[in-house]
Amino acid sequence: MKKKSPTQKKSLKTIVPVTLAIFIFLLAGLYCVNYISQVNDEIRQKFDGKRWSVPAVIYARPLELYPGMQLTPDMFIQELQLAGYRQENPVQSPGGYFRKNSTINLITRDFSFPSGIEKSTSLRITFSANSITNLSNNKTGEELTFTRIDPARIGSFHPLIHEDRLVLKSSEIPEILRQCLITVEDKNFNTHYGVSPTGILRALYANMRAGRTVQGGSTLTQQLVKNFFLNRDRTLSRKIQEAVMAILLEYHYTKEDIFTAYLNEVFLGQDGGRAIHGFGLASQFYFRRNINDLSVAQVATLVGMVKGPSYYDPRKNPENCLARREIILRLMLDDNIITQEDFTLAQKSPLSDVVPQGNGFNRFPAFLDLVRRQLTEQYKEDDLKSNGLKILTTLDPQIQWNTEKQIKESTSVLANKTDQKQLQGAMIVTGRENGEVQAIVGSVNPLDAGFNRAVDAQRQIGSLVKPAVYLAALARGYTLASPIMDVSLAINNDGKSWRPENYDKKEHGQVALYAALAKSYNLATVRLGMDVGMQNVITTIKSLGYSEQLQPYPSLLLGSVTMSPLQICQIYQTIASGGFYLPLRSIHSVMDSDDKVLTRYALEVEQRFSPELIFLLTHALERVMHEGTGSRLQFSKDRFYAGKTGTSNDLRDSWFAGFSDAHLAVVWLGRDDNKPVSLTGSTGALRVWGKVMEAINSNSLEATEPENIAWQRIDTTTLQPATAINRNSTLLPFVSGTEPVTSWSAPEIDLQKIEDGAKKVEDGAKKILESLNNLFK
Amino acid sequence: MQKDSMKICTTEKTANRYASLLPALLLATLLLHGCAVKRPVQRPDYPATPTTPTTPTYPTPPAYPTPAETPVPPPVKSDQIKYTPKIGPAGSLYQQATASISAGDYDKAELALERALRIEPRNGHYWYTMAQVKYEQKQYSQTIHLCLKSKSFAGKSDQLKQLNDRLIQDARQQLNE
Repeated sequence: MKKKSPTQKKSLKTIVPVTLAIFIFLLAGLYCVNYISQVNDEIRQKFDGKRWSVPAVIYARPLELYPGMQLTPDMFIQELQLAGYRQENPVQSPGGYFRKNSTINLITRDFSFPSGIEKSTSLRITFSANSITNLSNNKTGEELTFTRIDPARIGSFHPLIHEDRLVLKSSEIPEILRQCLITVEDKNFNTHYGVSPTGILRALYANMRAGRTVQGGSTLTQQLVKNFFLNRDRTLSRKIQEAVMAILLEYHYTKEDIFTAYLNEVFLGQDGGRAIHGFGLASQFYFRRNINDLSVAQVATLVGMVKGPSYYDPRKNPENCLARREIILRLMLDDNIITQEDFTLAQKSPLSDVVPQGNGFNRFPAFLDLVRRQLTEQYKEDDLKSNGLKILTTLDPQIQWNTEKQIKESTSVLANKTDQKQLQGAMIVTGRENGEVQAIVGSVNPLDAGFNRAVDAQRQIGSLVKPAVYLAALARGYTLASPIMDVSLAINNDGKSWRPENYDKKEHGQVALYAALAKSYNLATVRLGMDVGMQNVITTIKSLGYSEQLQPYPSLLLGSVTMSPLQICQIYQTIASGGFYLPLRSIHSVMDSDDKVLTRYALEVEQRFSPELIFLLTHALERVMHEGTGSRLQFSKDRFYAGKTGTSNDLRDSWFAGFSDAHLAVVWLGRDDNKPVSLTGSTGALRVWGKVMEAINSNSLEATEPENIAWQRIDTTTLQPATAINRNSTLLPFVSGTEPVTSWSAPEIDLQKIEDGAKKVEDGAKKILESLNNLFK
Repeated sequence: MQKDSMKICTTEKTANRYASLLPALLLATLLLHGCAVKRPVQRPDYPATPTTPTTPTYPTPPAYPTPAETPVPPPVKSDQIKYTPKIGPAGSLYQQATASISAGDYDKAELALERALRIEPRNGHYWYTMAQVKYEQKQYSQTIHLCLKSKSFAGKSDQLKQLNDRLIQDARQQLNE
């Protein structure tokens, strides 16, 4: 046997471990490279792509202002507060206002409308008791004919628990904030490569000396990595991963990019389920200010909160907050970011500029629900939750508040009166000529985000259907004075006999068409409808704007069909706007996060009925309010409206739909379990409707009279033409050429009399002539 | 005049007494005779007896007829409106809109008009200008309906009616092409 030489032994001894080491080293290297490239991909993917999911924000309509406009100073301030304005004296920066007696000064904020950006303006508005008397630019003194305020954010689409932020661009970051943040959080930010060994050593030293953690060794980049890419684990592997990522981030991106991302990412407080992220939103949330309007003290407050947003919360823990602010201010002074003067001033300023936490956000659930439905027809749920869309809507907060208040109060009074604890209600208010939904309430507790009755409650509509029956009749040659028999009848339908009855169980004999509608007579309506034909009635209801199927049962003539308040609103919109169908709109436009318009919901009209026919129908609906089922409504001022009551079988539903000069409104009252509520349309819904119209100061209706209208006085009993001396007569409009001819000219009897008289005169004259002739002979 | 004649004829006895008024009486007699014959006796029977519907009018918008005999017009341009709006917020917005039309920015014009109409919703001129904008945006069907809307507020303004009729005709032509 050959023995191995010692050298051989030795070399073998060394070669094996070395190879092994090299192998392991290579493997580790390979692993590292693989790991780093993976991390690298992850970083690039997330940092290059959409960095944050920003939920779509919904705005109310912008408030237009002009001299002569009806608006009280109180209403105006309420609206400013909803829009996040703050009171300050003197008014110095955008978003501030101050009221002195009947004058309000304010500075609006920049806002990008679909028509372009409207720059911040300093305004001075003078009010009389209830209207604007003067509007001017506070800087130039120039008088303005009109302007508008940047609209209020009224909600956003997001998951129940979510991050919210206002993403700032690098150019929007004020210098003082930049310097302050670097000084406090990461002195070497501008020179390190993502990790700072000296920083770590310094922190270690400081912490050892203090015996507890007083300084963190993490750079801003590491903090960003921790918040942006990683979870909150504090293991060693996490620390290593964090460092690797920080270095890679620094390698790929500029300091500016990283700093801006940090500023937008950092967590700065909690608002219920909403987490406040980034300095942009925090500035609004705590101070109602834009980021570049912050005072030195406010900057120091926010920077101080980075360390512990809850512990240093200026609202919850003002003492902690003030102490921390003091430290920050000193650091700023030491680094010459602020002067001694700034320091003294800031040190003294109280925390009272922190605004109380408002709850205007997602305050109008029924309206937001309607907006969401309209949006999801075009947009994916994900687009709404993450793409930072701006949604400009038609909500008029003034009308919405009033509607909420009135429906709450009135239903509570009615509920007590009728002993109906479960009385529910819904209401919609729209613009009469543009179909914009200005207010919508889906519950007697308007803050309930549950069942939206205005949109989802399908209820029997009762007499609300009648205007469609009468319109169909007018279109087929009936006039407002046509006699209708309000006499009982039986209709055979599917082998069953149906015997409709009037609400008062009486028959009223021959009545004029207008009166049958005003007094909501069932028997007359059924006779009229059967004469016009069910199919024609159905076509009319559809032309008015109802899109679902309808069965031609005669009971449809009395409203035995179910609809939602919103569907009723769409139908009455066509009547209110003079025969033009307008799709109801709750959204004005949708813009992306760069303020580019994605969708416009434009004003569209479609003529479905002639203005003359609608004018006649509207006149009859005005009669409802004067002498019919709507005459119960009493106003403090003389007001004239048009509308129709509706009551379903056994008083289960109480409806009113009607319009004024500028508004159309629909009210429904009833119970969710569909039990009777002992209210008719006129004892229930009409009251709420009247209260709202009065509260929003809606002017009397002025129906535009088409050219082709002739007015004629009619005897209310005989329905024959009458003169003004006839006390039982009334003046009615007719489409020219269809009015009954006047008493002296038309009726055959009168003509005969005149002709007879004339003949007598003629005969008499002939006789005289003859006698004269004889005389001369 | 007719009423005066009436008085005379219904007071036959008086007439007999004043024979000197003979020529006047004769004239009146003749006049009355003429009047009586010319009264429109062909009007529909009153009270109107409901007739079974013969011509369904739905759903055929626009139901509001436009005169067939309007002359074939040149395309309507914005400079053809000689409308000076009232001074006020809506008027200023209207002017902003017409300026945008001149600059060819129809989307902006539309937005300004919507604002003007929110303040003055029944101004036929604003609706007409909106129709013009839709025409430029090549939405011809909407143009026609907006013109009809404008006409429904035209009242006694023949000029506005004519402008609308012309634009309707233009839009119809475009739809047929």
